[in-house]
Amino acid sequence: MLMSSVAVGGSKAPRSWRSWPQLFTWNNVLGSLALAAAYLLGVWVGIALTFEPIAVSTLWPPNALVLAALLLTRPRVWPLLIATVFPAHLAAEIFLGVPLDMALCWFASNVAEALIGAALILRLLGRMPRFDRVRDLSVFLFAGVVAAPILSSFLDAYFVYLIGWRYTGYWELWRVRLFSNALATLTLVPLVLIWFQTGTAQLWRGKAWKKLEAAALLASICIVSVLVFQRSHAPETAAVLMYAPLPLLMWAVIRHEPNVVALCVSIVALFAITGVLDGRGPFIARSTVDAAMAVQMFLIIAESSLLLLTASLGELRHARSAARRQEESLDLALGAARMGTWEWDFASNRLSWRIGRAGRSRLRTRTVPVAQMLTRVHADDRAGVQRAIDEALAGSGDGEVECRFVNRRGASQWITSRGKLLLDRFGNPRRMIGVYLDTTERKTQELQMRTHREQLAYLSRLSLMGELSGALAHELNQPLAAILLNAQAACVQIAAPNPNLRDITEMLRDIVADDQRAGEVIHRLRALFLKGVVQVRPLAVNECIREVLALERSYLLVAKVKTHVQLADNLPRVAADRVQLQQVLLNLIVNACEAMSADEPHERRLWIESMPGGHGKVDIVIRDSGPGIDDVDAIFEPFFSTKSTGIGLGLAVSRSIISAHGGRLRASRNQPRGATFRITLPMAAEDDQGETQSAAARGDQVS
Amino acid sequence: MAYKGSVHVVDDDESFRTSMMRVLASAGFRPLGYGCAGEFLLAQADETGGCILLDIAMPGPSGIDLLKALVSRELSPPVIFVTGRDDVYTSVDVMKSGAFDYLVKPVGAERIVPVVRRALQVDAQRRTDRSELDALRRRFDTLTRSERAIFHGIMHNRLNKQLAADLGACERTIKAQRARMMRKLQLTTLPELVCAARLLETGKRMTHVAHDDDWTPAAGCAPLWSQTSQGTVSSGL
Repeated sequence: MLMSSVAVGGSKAPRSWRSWPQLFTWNNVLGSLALAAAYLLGVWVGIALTFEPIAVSTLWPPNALVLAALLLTRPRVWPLLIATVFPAHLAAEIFLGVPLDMALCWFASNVAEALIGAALILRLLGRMPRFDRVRDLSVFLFAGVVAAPILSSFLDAYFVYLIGWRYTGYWELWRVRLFSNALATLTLVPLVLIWFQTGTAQLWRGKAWKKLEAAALLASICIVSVLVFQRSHAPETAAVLMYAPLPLLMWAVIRHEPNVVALCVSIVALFAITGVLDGRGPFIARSTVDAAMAVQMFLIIAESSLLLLTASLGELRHARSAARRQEESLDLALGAARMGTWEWDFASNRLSWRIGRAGRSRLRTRTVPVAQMLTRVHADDRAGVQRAIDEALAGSGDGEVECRFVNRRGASQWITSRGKLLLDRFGNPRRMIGVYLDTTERKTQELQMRTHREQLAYLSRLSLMGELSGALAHELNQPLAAILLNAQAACVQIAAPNPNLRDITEMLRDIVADDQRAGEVIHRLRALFLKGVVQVRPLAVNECIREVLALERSYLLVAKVKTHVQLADNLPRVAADRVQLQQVLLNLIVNACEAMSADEPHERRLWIESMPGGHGKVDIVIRDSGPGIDDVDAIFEPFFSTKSTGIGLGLAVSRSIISAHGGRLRASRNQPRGATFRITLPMAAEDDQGETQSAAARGDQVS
Repeated sequence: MAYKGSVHVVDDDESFRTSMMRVLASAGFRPLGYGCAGEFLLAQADETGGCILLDIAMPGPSGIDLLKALVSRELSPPVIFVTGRDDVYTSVDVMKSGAFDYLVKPVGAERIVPVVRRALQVDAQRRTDRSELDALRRRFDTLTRSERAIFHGIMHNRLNKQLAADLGACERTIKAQRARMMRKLQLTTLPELVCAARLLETGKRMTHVAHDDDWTPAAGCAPLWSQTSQGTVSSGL
C-alpha cells in the first residue's frame, strides 16, 4: 500500500494552478517517491516476466502503475509524478543495459500510454472509474485497455525500429507490446484503484465468517492455480484444465466485493504467466511467443468477462439497495401520514395492503380475499364501496371512497381510499392499486366540532329566546287569558236562571280555538327551546318565515316596527334544519328591531322577502330602515356587538349555521340608510335527501 | 248597585276582548269594545265616563300613548291596564303616568271585577265632585266683596270682632254679612265651610271612600273566585 500517500496527497493538493510551491507538499513528494519505488518494482517484475528473445515483457506493470497513479490524483499533480518516475525509469533501464536513447524513447511511449488512458477516462467519465458500474468499466476497457495501448504501441514499435535495439519486426513488436500492456492494465489498474477506493479498513470490518470465507477462497485459488498452471499436463487435458479456476473466480464475483475479485484475478494471472515462463501449465506451445500470447489472450478474455460480471452484479446490488432505501423512505412517509397502499389482484381476487404500526418504521403487508375484506366494511358504507368499485371497473369516477372498517372488537376506523385500475397489454383489467388514508382522527374532530357548533347554536338560541321572553309570554298569555275569562263568563251564564245556551256554546267554541292557539305557540316554542338533533330536511321557506313572524308578532308590536312581508310563490324547498333556520331569522329580525329602536316609531320599517336566488337556490332578504352597518365584515366576528346587552355571538352563530347548510349569509348597506341581510340556501336535491343526510348524521358515531 | 258609565275594553286581540266583555257583562257592567286606540278616540267614548281596560301592545298608538293623551284632559276616566307584559319598568311607568291599576294577563274575573267596580266608583265620585264644585263655584260667584273678605277671614281664623276691625265695620254688620254669606253658599256649620273652602281651593273633597269589595257573582259560581281578592290600593282621592 505504498501508493496511499499519493492518493491522499493528490486529493489534498491545493486547488490553485498557479501556486506551484504548494504542489511540493509533503504528501505529494512522498507519493511521487512511492510511485517511483513502485515503478522500479514494476520494472523488476516486468523483466522477470519477459521471454528472452523479445524486448517486451508478457506483463509490463510500470505503465499500468503510472496510469493508476494518474487516475488517483488530480491532473495538476501529474507533472510531478512523471518527473519523479523519469529518473527511476532511466536508472532501471540503464541498469538493465538498455541504451540511453532506447530508454528515453520507451519512457516517452510508456508515459504517453498512461497519459492517453488517464486523459481519455477523465474526459469520458469526469472522475475515477468505479468497477461496480458497467458504464465506468466500459469506458475503462475502451480507453485504458484498448485505445491507449494500441496508440502507444505504434509509437513504441516505431522507436525500437528507429533505434534498432533488439528489433524483431514492427508488427510483432506492436502486437506483443499491445497484449502485454493491455493485460497489465486490466490486471493491475482495477486492483490498485479498488484497493484505494475501498481502503484497507473494509478488509478488517465485515463479519468474521465473511473474512474467513475470503481467506479460504484466496487459499483455494492459490492451490488450484498452482495445480493447474505450475504443473505439466497432457495436451488432451490441458485445454480443459485452464478453466478450473473459473468456478472459484465466479464464487468471488458472486459472494464478494470487487476488491477480492481483483485480488483473485491477479493471483491467477501471476500463476498463469509464471507457469508459462517455467514451461509448465496448459499454455505450452511450440514457441514461447505463441505460449505467451495464448496466456495473455486467455487472461484478457477471462478478466474482462469477470470484471463485466462484477460490474453488473454491483449495479444490481446498488439498484436493490436504492429500491430498499426508497421503500424505507416511502414507508416512513406513509406511516407518518397514517397512509397505506393496497393492491387488488384480479387473478387471485385477493387484496393486499401495507399498514403502518405505531413505533415501527417498516410497514407490514397483509393479504386477504376481497370478499373477506368487504365483510369488514361498515354495513352502511358497503353500498358506497361497491359503487366506487363498479365505477372504477367501468373506468368512470375518481375511484375515491370514504368508508368505515370495523375490526373484531367492534371499533370502527374511517378510511379514505383512492384507487386506480391497471390494464394489461390487451386492455383487460389486471389489478387495481391505490392508497388509503386513516381519517378517523379527522372524522372524530369534525364530529366534535359539529357538536360544539350545535351546542353554541343552542346556547345562542336560548339567549335569543331570553331576549324575546316577554313577547313570547305575551303571545302565550293572550289565549290563556281569553280562555280563563270565557270559562268564567260561561260559568256565570250557566248559573243564571235561564241560561242562554247559544252564548255558552259560543264561549266554549272560543275556548277551544284559544286553546289550540296556545298549543301552537307552545309547540313552536318547544322546538326552539329543545336541544334536538339537527335534521336537515326539505323545508318550505315561506312557512318557516310565517311561523317566525307569528312568534314575534308581539315583539314587533312592542318595538313599533312596521313589517312588510313579501314572499314569492312556488319556491323550491331548501335543505335545512327548521329550528336552526328559524333561529337565524329570529336573530336577524330582533337585530333589525333593536337597531331601529332609537328611530322615530313611524320610521321603523322592516321588509322580509323570499325569492328565487338562481342556480336552484332560495334567497331570504331581511331589510331594515335602521342606521345601517359600519363594518359589513366585522359584524360576523364573534364577540362583536353594537348592542349594550349583546354578547356578540348571534351573527357569528347565524353565519356558521347557514354555512353548515351549504348556504351563505351576507350583509350590506342600504342607500340612504338601513341594512340588508341576505340568506342564500341551496335547494333540497330530492325529497329523500333528508333521509340520506340523517343517515350520514347517524353514521358519524365513531367508537 | 247600579254603576253609571260604561267599561271600555281596548285590546287588539279580538278573542280576548270578546271574552273580557262577556265577563264584564255577566258582572253587570256595560262593556264596550275597541280594536285599537284610534277606534276608542274616534268613538269619543271618554266623554261619557266609565273606565277603560287597556292593552299596551297594539297596532298604532300603544296603550301607554293613549293613557298619556287621556290624563291631560279634565275628568279622564280611570285607566286599568290589562296586558301580557310583566315587567317592573313598564308597570312603574304606567302607574306614574296616572293609570288606575295594572293587571297582568291571564287575569280572572275575581281580579278584574273589583278593580273595575272601584274604578267606576271613583269615576262616579269624580263626576259627582265635579258637579258639586261647579255648583259651589256658581254660589261663590254671587258673594259680594265684603262677604268674600269675611269668607277668607274665617278661613284664616279671624274672630268676628277682629274682622270688624279689619274691615272697618261694626260687629253686628259682620255677623249679618256672615249669615248672608252662609246662606248664599247653602252652608250651615263651620266645618262645612272649611270643606267648601278646600274644595274651591284644590278641587278635591275631604271625604274618604271606603273599600268596597262586596261584589258577589251569581249564586252557584262563587267557588271559582270565592277567595277574597287582594284589592289593589285605590289611587282615587
